[in-house]
Amino acid sequence: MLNTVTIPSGSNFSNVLLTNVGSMENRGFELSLNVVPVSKSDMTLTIGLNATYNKNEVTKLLITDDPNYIGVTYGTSFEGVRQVTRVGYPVRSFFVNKQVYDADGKPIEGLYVDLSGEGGVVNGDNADKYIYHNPAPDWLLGLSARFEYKNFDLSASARGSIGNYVLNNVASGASYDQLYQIGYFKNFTKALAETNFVKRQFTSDYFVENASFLKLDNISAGYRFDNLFGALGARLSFTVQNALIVTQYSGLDPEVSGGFDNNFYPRPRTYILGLGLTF
Amino acid sequence: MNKKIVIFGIILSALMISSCVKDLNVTPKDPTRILAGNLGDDPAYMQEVLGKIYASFIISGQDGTNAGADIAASDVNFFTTMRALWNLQEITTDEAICGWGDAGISDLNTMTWSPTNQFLTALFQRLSLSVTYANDFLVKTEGNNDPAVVKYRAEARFLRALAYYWAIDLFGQFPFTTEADGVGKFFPKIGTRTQIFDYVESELLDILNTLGEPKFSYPQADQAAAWMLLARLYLNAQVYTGTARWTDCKTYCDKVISSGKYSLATDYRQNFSADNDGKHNPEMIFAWDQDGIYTQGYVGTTFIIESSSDARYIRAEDFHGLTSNTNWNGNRARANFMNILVDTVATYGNVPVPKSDSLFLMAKDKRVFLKQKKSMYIPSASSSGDYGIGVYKFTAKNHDGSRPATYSAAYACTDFPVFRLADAYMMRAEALFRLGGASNIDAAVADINLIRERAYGNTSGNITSTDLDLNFILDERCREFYYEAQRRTDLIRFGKFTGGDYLWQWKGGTYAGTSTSSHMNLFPIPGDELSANPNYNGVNNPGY
Repeated sequence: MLNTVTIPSGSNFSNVLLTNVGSMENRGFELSLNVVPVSKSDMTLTIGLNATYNKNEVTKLLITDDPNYIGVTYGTSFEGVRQVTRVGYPVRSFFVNKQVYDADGKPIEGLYVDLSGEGGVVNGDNADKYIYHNPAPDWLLGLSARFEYKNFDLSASARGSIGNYVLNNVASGASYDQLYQIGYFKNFTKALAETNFVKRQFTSDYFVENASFLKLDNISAGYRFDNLFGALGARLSFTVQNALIVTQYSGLDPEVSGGFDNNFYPRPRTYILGLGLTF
Repeated sequence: MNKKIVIFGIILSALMISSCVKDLNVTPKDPTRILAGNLGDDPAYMQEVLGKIYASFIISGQDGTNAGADIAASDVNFFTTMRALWNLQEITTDEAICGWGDAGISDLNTMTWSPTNQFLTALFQRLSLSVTYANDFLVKTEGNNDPAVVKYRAEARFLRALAYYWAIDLFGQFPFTTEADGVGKFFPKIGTRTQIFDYVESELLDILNTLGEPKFSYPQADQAAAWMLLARLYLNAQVYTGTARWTDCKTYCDKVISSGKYSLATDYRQNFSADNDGKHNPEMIFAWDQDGIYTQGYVGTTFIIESSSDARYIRAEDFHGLTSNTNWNGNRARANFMNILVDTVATYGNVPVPKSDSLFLMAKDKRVFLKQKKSMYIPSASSSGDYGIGVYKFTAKNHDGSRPATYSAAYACTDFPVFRLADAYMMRAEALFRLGGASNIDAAVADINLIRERAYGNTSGNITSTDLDLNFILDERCREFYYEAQRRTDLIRFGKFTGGDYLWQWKGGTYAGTSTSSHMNLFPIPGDELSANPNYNGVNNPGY
C-alpha cells in the first residue's frame, strides 16, 4: 500500500514522500453451493447459492507507529473531511461528527457531541469526529435458480449485500438556504422535510445510512411451442430486469460506488416480452 | 534426456534473468534533461545547483512564482525559510505581532506554540532540506579540482553551516547529516546542540581559506560571511553550549572590520532598500538576493514589506512603490518596542506621544521608520493590523526614492540582509563589554558611537562608558536591527525572552504581558518529525 508520509528530515529532497509503507489484512471466507434438487425427464430445478464474508483492517500506514496519527483523510475543502483510512479500521471508513437528536428523535441542526472534550467549534473539527461504519459490505450474497417443466421454464437471479453503508450526499446537500437559487426554486428530496436543516450539514453521521440490500435483478419465464405450423417453432418469454429491491436505504439506490450517493442516475426497471421463431 | 532438458532450462532461464537486469539500466533520451550523475561534466551545471542551495533559503521552489514548492505544505509562500524564520524570530517578541487568523500565527504572537505549529514544522523541514541539498552537491562534486568548483564546494559547506546554525538556535537538537550520509531512505541520527555547534565551528574554520575574498562576487558567500557567522556563533556560544566565547567573537569581528572592504552606508535606510545589495551598498556582507524579475515570490523582504503595509496608514503604493497584491495588513510592532526605539521623554517631554507626529519625525534617531496607527496599544492578540505601531523600515524603492532597474509591481528587489557591517561593530562591542576592563569598555563605547553617529547624523547621540550596560546593548541592537529576524536570539542571550524580566504586550497571552516558562527558549521538535524518525525515541525538547 502506498501512502504519502512525512519522512525524517535530512534524509531526502522533500518533507513527504509517496512510500510503499502500508499494509492491510483481509479475512473472510467464501461459500458456493450448486444444488439440483429435482432432476426428472420432464422437470428440473437448479439452484446456485454463494456467500462471501470479508473483513478489512488496515495494519500499517507510517514508517514508524504513531498512535496519534489521524490517518489518511478524504474530503473536499467545501464539504470537509468525511472519510479516513486509519490503522485498526477498514479502508475509507466514514469519519463524521456524532449527531445530537432532540426528544422526538429529530437531528438538531449543527449540534454534535464534543468527542474530544476540548470545547470550541465541534462541527467539522476532525478532533471531534469518529469512525462510523464503512462503504464495504460484510456479506455478499448471490442466488440463481432455474426451473423447467416440460415446455415451461422459469429463471431468476438475485444479489444481496449486507453491512455496506452509504453517505447520502443528496440528503446532506439539501437545506432551506439552498432552496432559492437566483431566479428559480430548486427541487429537493423529501429528506429535507425530515431534517428541516437551514444550512447544509455535510459531516453529520445522520446521513450515513445502512445500505444493505437484496435485489432481484432478473426474473424470466418462457414457454416453448414445438411444431406450431409444420416446422415452425416459437418461444414466448417474459422478463423483468431490476424487478425488486429490498432495503432500508432512503436514497434512490443503495448500490453506489465509493459509498457516496451523489445524485445517482436511476436504474430503470425493464419489462421485456420476447417472441422467438425457429424454422 | 530429461536431465539434459532440465539443465538446459536452468541455463536458459539464468541467461534470461541477467539480460533483463541490464535492460533496466535505462537513461532518459530527452537531451534537455540533466541527470544528477552528469553534474561532474560541466561546471556550469554545478553553478546552477549551487544556486539552488542559495535559493532554498529564500524562495519556495523550482517552478517560479508562487508555485511548485520544494516541500509539501498548505501554502507555497508562508512556509519558505526566511519568511518562517522571520515569523519565529520577530512575532514572538516585542518587535512584531501579526493580526492574521491563519493557524499557528496567534500561538507565535502569544508564546503559546505547540509541536504542531506549521511555521516551526516548515522551518525545521526547510533547514534540513537545505542541508540535504548541500550534502548532495558535495557528494556529486567530490574530488573535483577545478578551482571554481573547489570554491563552490566551500560555499555549499558555508550554507550548510548557516542552516545548522539557525537549526541549533531555534530547535537545539537537529537531524545531523553530512555528505557521508547521502540521500535516500534512512533515519538520520540526531545531533545535540553542542555536537552541531562544534561541527559548524570546525566546518567554518576549515573553509575559511577556500572561500572567496570578501566582496569577490556578491551575493556569493565569501570569507567575510564566514567570519560573521563565526562571530554570531561565538556571540551566542554561552546559550548554545554553556561556555562563553567572547574573545573568539571579537577576533572574527576584528577580521571583518579590519579587512577594510566594508564601510557603514551613509544612509541607514539603504540597508533596507532595493539598492541594498553588496554591489551598491558598502555595508552589506551577506544577504539573500531578491529581485523583482529573477526571484519572484511573496517571500523574504516582499513579505516583510507587504505584511507591514495596510490600505489606510502605510499604503505600499505610496511608501514602497509596489502596486500589485498590496497591503496585507498583518505585521506591526508593539508599543514596548516603540519605547526602546523612540526616546519619547527626550523627544516629546513627559506627555503621551502626540497624534500629530504620526511619523515620529521629531525623533532625533534617523532609524525610526514607524507610523502611528489607530491606537498604539493592541486590544487583543488577534486584533487587525490597524492597531499597534506601523513599521516601514524595509522598502521596495531605492534609498533615494527611485525605482530599481528590475522593478516589478508585486515583488521587491530588496535583498534580505543576513550580515551587515553594523552587526560586526555591535557584536564586537558586546563581546568587549562582557570581557570587561576599562579599555575594553571604552572600545565598546567607541564601536557603539560609530553606529549612533550614523543614526543621529552627528555626535549628539553619543554615549559614554557610564551610559553603557547590558540593557543598553540589547536596546541598541533592537534599535539597529529591528525587523531583521534577530530579536528572539538577542532576547534569549540577555535572558529576557522568557520569564518575567521583560514583559511586552500579549507576551504569554495577556494584555500587559505575563511571565512565560523558560523551556520556550527552544522551539519544540515538530510532531511530524518526532513520529517520522525513531531516533528521537519520541522525546521532545524539555518542557514540550
